[in-house]
Amino acid sequence: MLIKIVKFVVVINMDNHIQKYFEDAYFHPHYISDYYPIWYLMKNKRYDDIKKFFSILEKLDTEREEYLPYKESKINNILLGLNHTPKLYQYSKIEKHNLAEQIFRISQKTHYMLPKYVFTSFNISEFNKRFITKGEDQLNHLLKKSGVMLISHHWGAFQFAILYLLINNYPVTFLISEDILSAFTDTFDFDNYPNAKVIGLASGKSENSSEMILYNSVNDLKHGRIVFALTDNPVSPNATKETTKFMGCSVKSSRIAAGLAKFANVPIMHLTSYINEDTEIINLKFDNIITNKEINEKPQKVIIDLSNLYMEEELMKGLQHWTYADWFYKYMYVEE
Amino acid sequence: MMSLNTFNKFSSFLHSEMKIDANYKILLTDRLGEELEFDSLDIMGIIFFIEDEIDNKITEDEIKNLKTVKDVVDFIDKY
Repeated sequence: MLIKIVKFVVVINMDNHIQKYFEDAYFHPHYISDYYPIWYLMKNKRYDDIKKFFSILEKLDTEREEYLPYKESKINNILLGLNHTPKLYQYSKIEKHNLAEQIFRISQKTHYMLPKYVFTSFNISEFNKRFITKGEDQLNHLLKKSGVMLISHHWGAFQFAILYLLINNYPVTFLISEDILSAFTDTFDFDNYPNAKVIGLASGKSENSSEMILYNSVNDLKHGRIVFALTDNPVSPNATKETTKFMGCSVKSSRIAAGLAKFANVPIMHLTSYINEDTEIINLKFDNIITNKEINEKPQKVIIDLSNLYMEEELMKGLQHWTYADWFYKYMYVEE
Repeated sequence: MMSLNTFNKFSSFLHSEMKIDANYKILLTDRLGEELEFDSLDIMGIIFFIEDEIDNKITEDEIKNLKTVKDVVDFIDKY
């Protein structure tokens, strides 16, 4: 079972205030040992009880003197991302600022919700009540016939989607950038789920045996597993030969998901996830299937564009869920 | 002895499937990662080409030894 909770968001250009806040925020690893008695006490509690307990820590966290400079700095970073997004050029300064504040609020909400969800995961039925899923039957239908290449981006409630797939014992192989593999492994404790595998993909040029990793992923797909590509906004690891469009920008394009699906002859499916701020319920949507036939007939770049376009359309429906908008700026090729 | 037939077949695959420019003359000494600029996903495509040719699976160690066009051609010819 999940016994560790860590905060795994990395903030680029962290100043001292942000660094200090992250080091001391309650969800930080330094506090893990203090959680152990709570694990025991909270094991069979309902989400609302767990939430009540954590709300005290949240309140204390946000009253810290480092919190306000942290918030200001984060919002500025998010604004930087929004300002460099051609799709949002028509937005006014005020609209962008409001959006940045909303993104910050949901992003913070996400950080605080993750431990609560992890605690709730001891009780599967209670845990599953926290999710509204759409299209899961389609996923299960596809899985009866073949593996499925599942794609999601780093926005919305993607961390919760990982938890959902783990707790519900899906046969899933997670493809995760090697840079964040250790943090993800600490958070989700993949080893405790016999049906789950996690694979770290080397970033940049140093592709340590990436071929073998990808080769094994194709075999996983051929054996009827889900391979879940958790891509950055929109993607960064390895295969960056091509550029495609996302939010109006030329972005580094990972061909991995499209390539694996083609080699394994399986369909691609997309997973988007949103948090209801009021109820703290997660909406998971499994949708936009790209069939084997399309994957075989169309050039890889077209498939990547189809995937990016769908994710962009979904993101535009609720831009406040772009929780990594500040990262996006770092990962895209900005067209001035 | 290297088979010209295998080399031609592999060259043809590189031009048609791996999008190597039709005007580029592929050499045996070309390195997959350098001259041909293949990334890991491209290499995987080559692995599946080899497996189709030899009608067998190849191992991680064997994959690691595939650095040049000649390595691939020689590997196929061994079977």
